[in-house]
Formats: sequence, structure tokens, C-alpha cells
Amino acid sequence: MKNRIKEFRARYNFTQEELARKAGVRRETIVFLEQGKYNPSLQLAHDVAKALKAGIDELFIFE
Amino acid sequence: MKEKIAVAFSVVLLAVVLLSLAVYFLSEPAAKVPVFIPLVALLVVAGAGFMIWKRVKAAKAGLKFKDEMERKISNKAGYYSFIATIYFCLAIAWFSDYLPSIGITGFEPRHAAELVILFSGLVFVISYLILDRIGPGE
Repeated sequence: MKNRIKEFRARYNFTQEELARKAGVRRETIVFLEQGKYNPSLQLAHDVAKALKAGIDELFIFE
Repeated sequence: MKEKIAVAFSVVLLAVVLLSLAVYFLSEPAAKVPVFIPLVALLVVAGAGFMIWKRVKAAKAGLKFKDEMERKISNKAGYYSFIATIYFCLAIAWFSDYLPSIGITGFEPRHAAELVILFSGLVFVISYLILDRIGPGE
């Protein structure tokens, strides 16, 4: 699944570590999410979207 | 706080494992222990030590070290370890008779049991570290 996490992260000038802290996950999880190598659960998608002040549908591109 | 306790527990557990391994190998006459058993034990401990070190680093940085992806990685590594151990048990049963012919002597049934446990741990640690690097996949 494609996503715009990197774009939103850059918008708020967050590092991967800061985003991980805000979303309550490991830094590696953010890395794999950004690379599109990991499809998050609805809960994780919600947490990341909340940390980036975005909607899930804005952040994740369902194809 | 809960995370720090978990990390401290992991460190204590690793210390206990190291201590018990030291006691085991010191109490056992060196010639009676096949050389690869301490080697595999050291590899498992080194891998587990690396995993714990990563957790300590994450906890120090105020990050979580357990999340849904980590659980997925753990589950997958556990599954690989389980499957590999089954095959390893079969392999030991088949090849134990041929060990003296390749220079491994004094291999007792209890060594097979020790090796199976250590092999299981080794596969888990290696799978975990690889999956942590390449991602758990789907």
C-alpha cells in the first residue's frame, strides 16, 4: 500500500524518531511504513495519521 | 516505566543465562562437550544480547521497543524456529550414527537435546534479526 507519510512528516519537520515517539511505535516501523514494506493495522494507521494530524484516507492510498 | 522494567528484566535474564552457561561449561569436563555446543550457545547469547542492546537503546531514547510490527516479527521468527527445529530433530535422528565418521565423537543423547534447544534459539534469533532488517512482509 502506498502512503504519504514521508511527505506529511516533512511538512511538520518531524524526524522518523519523533514520529515514532508521537505514534507510540518503534522507529523501524516508521521506516518500513514509509518504504511501503509494511501494511499497518487500522489501529496503527489511525495512530500515525493522528500524529501527523491527517486523515487515514489522506495518508494511505488504497488501490 | 513498564517498558523500563521489561528491559531491565531482559538484561537480568541475559546475565542469568550467561552465568548458567558458564557454570555448565565449567562443571563439565571440556573433552566431553562437543565443540559446537558452546559455539552455538555463544551465537545465541550474542544474538540475544544484540536484541536486548537495541531495546535498551530504544528505551533510552524514549521510544517503544514493542509494537504490532515487532510482534509480527517475533511470531514469524517463532514459526520459522519451530519448523526448523522439527527438521533439525529429524536430521539429528538420521545422522547421529554417522557423526563419528566425520570426527565428532562422544556425542550423547543429552547433547542432542541440548543442541535442539540451542538450535531452536539460534534460528529464532537469526530469523528475528533478518526480519527486523528486511521487514515482516505480509
